[in-house]
Amino acid sequence: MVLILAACGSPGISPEASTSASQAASSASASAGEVAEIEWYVGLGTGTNPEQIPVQEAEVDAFNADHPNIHLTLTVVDSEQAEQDLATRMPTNPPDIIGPIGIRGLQGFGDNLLDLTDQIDAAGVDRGSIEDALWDVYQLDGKQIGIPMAVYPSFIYYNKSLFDEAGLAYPPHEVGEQYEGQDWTWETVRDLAMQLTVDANGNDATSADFNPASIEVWGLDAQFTNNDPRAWSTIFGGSGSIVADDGTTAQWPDNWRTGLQYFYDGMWTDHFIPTKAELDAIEPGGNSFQTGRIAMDVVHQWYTCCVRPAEGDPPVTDWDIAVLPTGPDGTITSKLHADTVGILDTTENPEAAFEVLNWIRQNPALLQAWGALPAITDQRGDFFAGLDETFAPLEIDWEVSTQMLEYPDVPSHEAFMPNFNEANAANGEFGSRLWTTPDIDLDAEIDAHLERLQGIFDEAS
Amino acid sequence: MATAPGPAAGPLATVAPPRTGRFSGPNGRETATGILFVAPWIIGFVAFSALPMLASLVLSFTDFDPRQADEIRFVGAENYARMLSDPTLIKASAVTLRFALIVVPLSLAFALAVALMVNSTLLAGRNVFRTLFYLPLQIPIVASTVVWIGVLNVSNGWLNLGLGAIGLPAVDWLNSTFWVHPALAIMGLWGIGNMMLIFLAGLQSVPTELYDAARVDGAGVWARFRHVTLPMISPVLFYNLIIVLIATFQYFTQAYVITNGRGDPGGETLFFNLNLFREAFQFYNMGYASALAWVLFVVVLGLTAILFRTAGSWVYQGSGER
Amino acid sequence: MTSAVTPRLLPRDAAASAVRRPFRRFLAIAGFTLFATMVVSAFLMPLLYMTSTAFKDPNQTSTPGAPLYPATPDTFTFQGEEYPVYQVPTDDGLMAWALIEPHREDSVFIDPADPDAGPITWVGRWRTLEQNWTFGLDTGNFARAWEILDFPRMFFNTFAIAALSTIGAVASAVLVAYGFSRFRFPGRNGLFLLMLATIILPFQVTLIPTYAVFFALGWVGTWLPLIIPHFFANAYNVFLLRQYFLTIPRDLDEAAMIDGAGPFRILRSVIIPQAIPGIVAVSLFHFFWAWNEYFLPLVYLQSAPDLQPLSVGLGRFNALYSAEPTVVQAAALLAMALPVIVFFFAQRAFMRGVVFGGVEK
Repeated sequence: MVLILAACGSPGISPEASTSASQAASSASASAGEVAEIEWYVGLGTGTNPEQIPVQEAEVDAFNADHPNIHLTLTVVDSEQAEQDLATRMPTNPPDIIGPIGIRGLQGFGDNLLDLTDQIDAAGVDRGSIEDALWDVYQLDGKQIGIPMAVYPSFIYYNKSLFDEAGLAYPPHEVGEQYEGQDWTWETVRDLAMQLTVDANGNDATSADFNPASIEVWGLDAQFTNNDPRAWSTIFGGSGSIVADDGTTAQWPDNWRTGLQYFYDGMWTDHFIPTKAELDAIEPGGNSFQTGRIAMDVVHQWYTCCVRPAEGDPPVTDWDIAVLPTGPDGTITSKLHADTVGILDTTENPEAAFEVLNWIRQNPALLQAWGALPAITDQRGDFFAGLDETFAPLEIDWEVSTQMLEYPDVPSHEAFMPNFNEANAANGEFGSRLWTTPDIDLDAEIDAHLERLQGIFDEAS
Repeated sequence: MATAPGPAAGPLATVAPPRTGRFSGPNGRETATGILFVAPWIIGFVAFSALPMLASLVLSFTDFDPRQADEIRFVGAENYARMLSDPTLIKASAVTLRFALIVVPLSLAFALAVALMVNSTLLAGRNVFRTLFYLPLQIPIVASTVVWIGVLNVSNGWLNLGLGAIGLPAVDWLNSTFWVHPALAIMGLWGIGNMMLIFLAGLQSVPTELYDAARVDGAGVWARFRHVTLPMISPVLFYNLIIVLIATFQYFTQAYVITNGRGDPGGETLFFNLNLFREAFQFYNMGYASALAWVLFVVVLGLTAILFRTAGSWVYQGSGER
Repeated sequence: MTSAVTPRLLPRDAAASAVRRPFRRFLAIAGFTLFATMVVSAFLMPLLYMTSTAFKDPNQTSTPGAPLYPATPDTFTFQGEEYPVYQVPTDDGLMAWALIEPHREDSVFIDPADPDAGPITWVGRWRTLEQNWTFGLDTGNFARAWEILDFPRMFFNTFAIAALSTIGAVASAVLVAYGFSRFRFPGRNGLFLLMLATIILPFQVTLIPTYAVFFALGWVGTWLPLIIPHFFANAYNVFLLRQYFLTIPRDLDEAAMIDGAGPFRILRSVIIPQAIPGIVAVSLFHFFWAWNEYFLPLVYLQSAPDLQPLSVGLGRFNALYSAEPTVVQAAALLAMALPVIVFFFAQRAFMRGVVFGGVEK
């Protein structure tokens, strides 16, 4: 049996057997002045955009010029195909470094990542330069699988022109600030968003004459959260977990039910949030804010990648960012994304790979190209200055981003679930249903979904 | 050069040509020559296909996870047993069968109709028409799927705008559990270029004499189609049937791209092979996926074998299959 | 219709019927061609949508009320800023005014004909106004696609991979199909079914072992995995050619055999000439399949960007979070140009082949 497998994939289908030996060997050989081959695999997260690839290539060339003992190669794979491609390669020909990769992506490959604890200490990485909470994100089963590289708080991008047209004041930039005498809560946002939502006859969503079939502008969206009910629940309901404290029971906390109901009603009853079909009609790529037809959009810091007009006249000429409102649990929650790079434990050159990793994670040119807010606190000023240059003459209030970083979702909306990939797929199907189906009893749907999730969780044990 | 077929042969006359000459019985020399010609495929099979196929069969009895190749365990028939109680699989199989029942006859009929049309002497500019019907196959899949998502959109898709222009209501093609199969079937019709071309090649080789003879016998358009065209192109019809059957049971790419592999809406596009893909590359249950593949394999191979058995009764063999 | 009836009233003399027959045939051709044109128009509607998208400014698709054809909004430049022009109903009739400050119930316009008159406040809802558009093809998407992808090199790669694999696939398929269709040998049917079996097993489960084989051979990062296997005949092509060969009357082989021709000569001088349409079909079939093949080149050539075909390059415009539908369509149209030309000419050869084949059409 195993013989046949070994025969069909002769060189190292069982990497484990050879890894420890080759690690020892390669450490020795690297020190003997040989060139270590390191392959860096991009495609599991950002880094595949046409304008990012040349920056990555240039930085890799620069690295190679400075490091005669390491030969770094860059592999960029279409993000749609990357997971399948990587799985195809892993048994025989795995790359050394993968990333940038988000928290969710790590759940898929976490078991394959090298524990970096010793190397972090040996290389003298200054742990204090990064917030403690971020280090914890990459703690998995006692392993430190990554060094925090980039963080992306979420906040509200708003289109100033649409506020001007409606004659409404801009949303608050400071936590605690009121909006037109109202506390800045999701209820206030609903009222505001309905006034911003307008149909082809110029009626807003609060008007009796409003026609939901001809909406031209929607007050609110949470774009790129495609089908993820955990993300929606977190945005509009606050932090929560789909897994109870016992680690095995599926649950949907009350604040998540409230949050999800808000989102669902926003689409199907109050019409200030676009549905899937409406989004497809205005922008099949999902980049709805860029169309100029969304007044407020909850997106992460990394969205600076794509709000920038690619070519021609941008429909969004004037935008800024605002803080998130208080949720039903009485707190502000800024759904947090984070990116890092990791080393696959099959690498033959762990030391050289770590040297590359340590270079990638603090390379300002790469972080700028990815729109990645540096995890290293000292680098953030320069990063925002770089963004100001990009977006001039607009002056974006980056203080908002810094404030929102204080309110991350804990636990993460992308956190571990038993039987992760299957549970994640089930969540996606549930999300699709909410996104495309009017008139459902949400509480009953959640309960039915929990039953299914419980079955998936139970399979894990 | 080559001669035309026998004079004034009716459709039935050529079905059983006289079997004379050196090729009439098997002998050592014929065997050797036959094997020699088939050898390239045998070599390629051994070199590139046999091992991977065998490996996947072996993997179907393991818990293989490509991320943890070294932790592979033999699990006996567990993967096969699991299928019996996998509700997703049952749904996926039903969806696939239902889809196949629409798509196989529809695409065969459409491809044949188009082939007849672009083969007709009544059509001016046949070359242009053939090229136009083949065009969609030359569009890269990444682009054509984006096109279809746009065309099928409920509010501003061109298909619904067209329906609206003739007074029909808008249909939410891609988000309705009822309409998504028709939508995918329409998309599928866009890819009939190859089938059309193959039918066309078949139509080209029907000897004109047969039509003349039929006309002399007083056969009308339908009778000529039924008794001359259909029997004479039955070999390529048979080919198209087998290929479209295999392709439909492996239906995957469009469904994957349109729904991001989730099988939306409501699992209606979670086809057998998409489910297999999810097991293999999203859940990393490669062992289970391999077992699924081999079950599909046995079913489709069985269907194919049955079709080959029945072929003798309806597929015309000009040279007399022996 | 009436003109079709008219000749019937003429005296039935030879001259009249000589006129009538071609005329009726002409009408039949015209009618049938018109019908076919309608069918093909409906069939290609998505292609028209695609072409139209490729020539649109990326923002046009998302603008409410924008026309379906590629167009640019009419604008008027006032104090250095560009403003869109709308049809505004006024006491003096419909005026083409530029909208400089939109509000819900009243908006500020400027009259391009008389900008010195200054801003005009118009009471009413600007969203109900019709915007002025001018038809115009935006070639920016093509320029952007051309700038990002190295088209000449990718064309070369795509063509080389597709052409080489087609040569191998067709040559080997002709031989193998000849073997399966014209010779009897023990185990022939079993072998044929085994060949079909290779395409019945879903490729997803043989992907990893196949990759392992090519990696072991050292072929990863080269064109070899995309070309060499096709030199050993694949089931689709062999099956099709076998079906085609079976329709060729055996009398022809036997006549040649009596003249003393061996199996190779029969293949060359009898089978191949008779089967030109089938062979052309298989060649086109394989060529376009190879032209558009996406996943395998992505897997095997990811470490060698210089060797990648167009299909892989096109994926870049579909990147996570920044899909550019208009550029995807423009790049796809560029990528299609060559195959369409190839097909058109191959199609003519296809017809000629039939004539050479001796079966009179």
